[in-house]
Amino acid sequence: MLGYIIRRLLGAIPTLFIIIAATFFLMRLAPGGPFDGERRLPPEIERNIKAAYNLDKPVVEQFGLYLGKLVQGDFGPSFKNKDFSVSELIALGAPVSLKLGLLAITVAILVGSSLGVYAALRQNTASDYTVMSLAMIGITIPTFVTAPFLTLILGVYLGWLPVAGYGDGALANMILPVTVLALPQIAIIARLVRGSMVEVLRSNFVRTARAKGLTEMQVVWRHVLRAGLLPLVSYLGPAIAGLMTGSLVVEQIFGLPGIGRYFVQGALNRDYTLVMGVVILFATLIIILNLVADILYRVLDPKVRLG
Amino acid sequence: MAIPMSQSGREEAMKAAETVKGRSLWQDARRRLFRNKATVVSMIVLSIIILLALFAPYLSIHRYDTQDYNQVGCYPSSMIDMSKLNPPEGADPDSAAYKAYQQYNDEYPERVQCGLGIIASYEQAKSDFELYCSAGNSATAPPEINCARAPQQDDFTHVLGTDAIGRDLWVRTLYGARVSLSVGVVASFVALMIGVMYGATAGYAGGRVDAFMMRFVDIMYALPFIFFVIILMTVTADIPFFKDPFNRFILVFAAIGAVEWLTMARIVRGQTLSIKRKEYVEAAVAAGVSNAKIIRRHVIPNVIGPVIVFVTLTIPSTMLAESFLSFLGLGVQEPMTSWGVLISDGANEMETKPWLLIFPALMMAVTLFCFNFIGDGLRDALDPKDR
Repeated sequence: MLGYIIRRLLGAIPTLFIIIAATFFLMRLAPGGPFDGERRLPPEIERNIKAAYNLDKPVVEQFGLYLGKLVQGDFGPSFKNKDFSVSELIALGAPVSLKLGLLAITVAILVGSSLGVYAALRQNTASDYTVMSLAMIGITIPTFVTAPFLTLILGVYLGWLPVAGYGDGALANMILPVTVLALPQIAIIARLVRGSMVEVLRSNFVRTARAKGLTEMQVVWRHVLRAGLLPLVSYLGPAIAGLMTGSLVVEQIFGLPGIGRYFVQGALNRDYTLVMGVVILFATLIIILNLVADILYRVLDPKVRLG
Repeated sequence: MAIPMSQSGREEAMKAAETVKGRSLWQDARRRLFRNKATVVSMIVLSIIILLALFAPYLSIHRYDTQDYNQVGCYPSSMIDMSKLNPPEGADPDSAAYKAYQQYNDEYPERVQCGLGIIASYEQAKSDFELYCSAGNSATAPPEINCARAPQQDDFTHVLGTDAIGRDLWVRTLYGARVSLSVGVVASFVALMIGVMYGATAGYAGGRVDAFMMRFVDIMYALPFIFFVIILMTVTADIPFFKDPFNRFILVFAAIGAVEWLTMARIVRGQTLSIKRKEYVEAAVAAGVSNAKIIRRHVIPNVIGPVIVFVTLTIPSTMLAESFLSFLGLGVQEPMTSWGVLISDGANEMETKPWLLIFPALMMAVTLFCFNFIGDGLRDALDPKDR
């Protein structure tokens, strides 16, 4: 087990390195530096500023210095938010994004797997078809359509929920963003769980459990669910990646001051360091969470050998 | 041992064998496809949308980029009651009919403005048409007057209303369809080309080459690739070459296509690995056919089924990626438009003018549904397991 984790961690290092290198050199390809476009500075001052930000050194050396800072969690200064470093901006946005993401993934897993189990237990009935058609809608319609629509109906016409804003994290302000973010994941999880549950319900050990006289409730709770929910674990990695992408739109639409919003604003303002910082952070998170999901899967699935 | 058959004879035999097998497979698939009602309906709806997009310039007299500041934020014409737009003729200002007219116009000034605008421009166009075309001097008519068709009153209404700077939403949605659909198709084609080449090569080469090539795909796969597309769009935004709308458009194609090829490569590789061990490939190797030719003649034709299914499912996801970028303001630039741009604009004004959001969003949702249903139908039709 430990060997497996170590091997996977070592395997993640080149991946991360490639991501960091790619983002760094893309950033250097971009025309213009942090101090262009403002009033002309005397050359000696410009030289001093460039020296202060290491911009006068060869690109490879700059990359080394950037890596060194990065290891300490320093993403460099933001190009456009003059008084902030990228790390400070990320620290500002992280609590909001984290709250949004955690709520959304919890809702997605609870609702999605319940719907999937429900549909599987009533396979090929009207309720099964209804749930699966709803899931198809959830998968097909993108976040940036559901978000304005739900806001229009629940926020504007019915006036039940605030249309936008963070409101210091008030529950009412979080309901719409969390719902919108969770919807596609609910749909995917429901389909996934239904598929695996249907398969498990047909398997030999379930027939054995029924044959020895367990009630249907006991069969489902003790035997089917345990095996049927397993694929959910390996879907957690992609689900989180999906949530991160979704949060870009959701934070933008609902005006939540999270990392995703900083990222989009950074991309629109050409704040290269901010954009790169967020990408590196997200990629690292995704790699780590994928690793965690794989390890969990190995712990939970008796069929997979550890090692 | 040499095979006692001439080169051309062998090729003919191979060709004959291929056509016979291929025809039965495709006939079978087609029959099953057309039995699936959801797929057939989707194909019809999608064809209509594609035709509308293709003939967009001929479907309305409005242009997608003409701004008319006299008709800003117009209601869809179906929401305007034309009979209430003009005061009842000779009516007493104290009468109920006159008061109803006044109230109608006081409540929603956009109705009056747009309604009156319709009449005014229609009258202008009609008198121009009569002046230049009816008197038999159509040859000297100025280019903006189309003598082939007399202007109709309906031409001057906005079927779906107008946006915040007076552009016709119907025409813009159709032009958005052009952009979104072509991004979907072209980017999927880019993904198809790269993915099939890459996957077939990796799968056929096997061994270390395969391991190395697929390791690269795995690394790419670990990333939220849309972020890289966003970086690319950001970084190139200041480069003069990409400021040209057309070049930027191409960049959107290429960037999205470059994201979507990974899954394609995986699918094709898996298929290739299993085909490689088939007897007919062994026979081709024994007959001395070159590797490139085996990939072209045997491997690619046999992986085409799953690939077609995947392409139909890639098109909606590339359309989504483009709309996602455009929604964030990083995709196609004004006055060009796409569904993402329209939905984003509509979302900003949804409180007062919900139709600006509803129609483009509906159009996009319907299109995405169609592609998904067609993809599902094709998968069922081409699945050899339940033939």
